[in-house]
Amino acid sequence: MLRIYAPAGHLGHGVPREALEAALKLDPDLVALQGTSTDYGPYYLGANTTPQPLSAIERDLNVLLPRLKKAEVPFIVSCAGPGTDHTLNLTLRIMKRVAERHSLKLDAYVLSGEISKEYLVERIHAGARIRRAADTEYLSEFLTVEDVRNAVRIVAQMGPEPIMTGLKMGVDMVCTGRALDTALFAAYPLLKGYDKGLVMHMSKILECGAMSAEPPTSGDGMFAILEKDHFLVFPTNPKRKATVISIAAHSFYEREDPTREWGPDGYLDLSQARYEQYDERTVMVTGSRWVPVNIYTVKVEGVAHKGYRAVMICGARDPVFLENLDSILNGVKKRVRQYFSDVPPQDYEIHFHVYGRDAVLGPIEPEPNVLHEAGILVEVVAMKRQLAMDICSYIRSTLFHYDHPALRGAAGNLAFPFSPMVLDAGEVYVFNVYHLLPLEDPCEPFRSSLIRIGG
Amino acid sequence: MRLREVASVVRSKLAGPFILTIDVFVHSRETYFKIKSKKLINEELISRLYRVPREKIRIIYCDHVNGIKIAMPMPKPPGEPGCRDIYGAQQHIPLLNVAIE
Repeated sequence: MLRIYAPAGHLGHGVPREALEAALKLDPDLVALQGTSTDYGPYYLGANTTPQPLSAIERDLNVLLPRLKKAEVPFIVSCAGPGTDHTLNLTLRIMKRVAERHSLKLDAYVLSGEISKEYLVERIHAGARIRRAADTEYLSEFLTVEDVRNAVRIVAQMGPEPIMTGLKMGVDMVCTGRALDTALFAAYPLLKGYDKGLVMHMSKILECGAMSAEPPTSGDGMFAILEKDHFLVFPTNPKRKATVISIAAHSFYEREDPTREWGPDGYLDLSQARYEQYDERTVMVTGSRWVPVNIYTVKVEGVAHKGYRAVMICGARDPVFLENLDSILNGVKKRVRQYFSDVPPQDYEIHFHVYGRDAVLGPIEPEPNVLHEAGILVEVVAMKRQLAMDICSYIRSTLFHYDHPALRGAAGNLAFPFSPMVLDAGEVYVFNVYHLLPLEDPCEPFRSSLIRIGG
Repeated sequence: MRLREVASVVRSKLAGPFILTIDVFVHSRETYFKIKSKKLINEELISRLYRVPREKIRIIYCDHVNGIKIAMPMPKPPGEPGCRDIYGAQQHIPLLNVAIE
C-alpha cells in the first residue's frame, strides 16, 4: 500500500495547514505538488518569470518544508511557473530562506527542465523528427532549426524517470523545473512497481489537488491510497468530498479526450475505469489501463518574441457614437495607416475589443448588440515598443476627438478611467515550439545536481 | 428546452495552448441518451456555432458520467495579438441556448 498526498493543485495557490495536518496523521509515503504549467499563456516563459507572486510561493513552502521534514515525508515539487532554470533557482533561493528560518537541512535532487538550443539543433541535424503536439497552423509540422533559433528559451516536460533517479538516492526533496504534472506523483509508485494504469490515473487526479472534489478548488489537498488492484481518493478537508461524479468527471478537465491521456511512452485508457462510492467522502477506482507504445517522447515548449503591446481602456456612452461605432473604429484605423504611412503595415496590428458587444466571443457572438454603454480596449502590437506606444497614443487622440458627421460635438467621445491613458503592456510572446521530442534515454536532456539546502 | 436547462455543467477551457475544449454534463440519464441517440450535439452544429471546419471538430460521448466532450482548434492561441480569452474559459456560451427537443 502507498499513501500519497497532494497539498494543493498548484504551488502558490495556498496550502491550508489543517488539511495538511489531517493528511500527515494518515502517514503519507510521499507529498507532491505541481508548480509549473503553460495554462497562464506564453508570456511567463518568454519573460522568465512566474505568474504566482514569489511571496505566495514562499508562504506555501513555509507551511510545507518544516512539517514534511519533521514528519520525514519526501517531497516532490516542480518549480515554478514556466519551469525555466531561472524560476527554478528563484524557488531554490526561497527554499533556502525557509530552511534557514526553521533551521532545516534538506538534501535535494534538482532537475533542470530547460533544454539547450544547441542540443535541439544537433538533434534536428541528426535527423530527429520532432512532430508538433497539436494540429495547428501556428506550429511547424516538424520542429525546424529556425523555430529553435527564434525561441527565446525552451523547456521540456520531463517524465517520471529522471525523478525516479533522484528518489533512489533517498533525498528529502526532488525539485524539478518544467515537468509533466503526473510524473511528480507517478515516479515513486512506479519505482515501487505498482500497476502503471492505476498509478497514472491516480496521478492525474492528484495533480490538480482538490479540483476533483466537491466543491472543487486548487487551493486544498487530496489524498490517495494506492493498492495493487485499485486506489482510493478523498480530500482531507472534511468540508469537501470525493463523489463518483466529481472524480469521473475530472478526466474531462482541461483534456482533449476524457478516455485517453497520453504520456511519454503510452496512454492511459479510461474507457473501462470504474468508480464506486467507497464511503461518504471517498471514491474507489479500478479498471484504469495503461497502453504502452514503443517510443518515448517529451513535450518541448518554447516561445518566440513577437513584439510589444500598448493598450488603452476607455468607456463610450454617447448613443450616437455607439450607433456608429464600427464606422468610427474603421475610420480610426484608416487614419492610422495614413499618419504612419512610413511604417510598413505588417510591422503593427490594431485590435479593438468592444466589451459589452462581442469582446469575449468575437465573430461567434450570438447576440452582438451594443447596450447603453461599451468598454473599448485598444490593443496595439508592434515590432518596437515605442512604435506600439506611439500608435496607441495616436488612436487615443483620434478616437477621443473623432469628427463623425452624426456626432453633436467632438470635445471628447470617451470616458477614461485613469491617467496615464495609454499603458505599456510589455513584451508579446507566442508559443512557437510545442512539439514531441523523441528520446532514447528519458533522462538525457535533463541536467541534475544534488544540493544541500540550509544548514 | 435549451441545453442550459438540462445540463448540470457547461464549461470551456483550453487543453494546451492550441485546443479549445467544451464539457457538457447532462442532469438526467434519459435526456443524456436522447441527446446521444439523436445526435443533438454534432459536428454540424458545432461547425455552425463556432465557425470551425467540420473535420477539425471532435465530439466524444461518455456514458458513465452523462458527459459530452467537444474539442476544436483555438481560433487565436493565448499571446497572439487579438486573442480574446487566454484560458478559453468563456467560449461555451454559444452552446447554452441550443434546443434539446
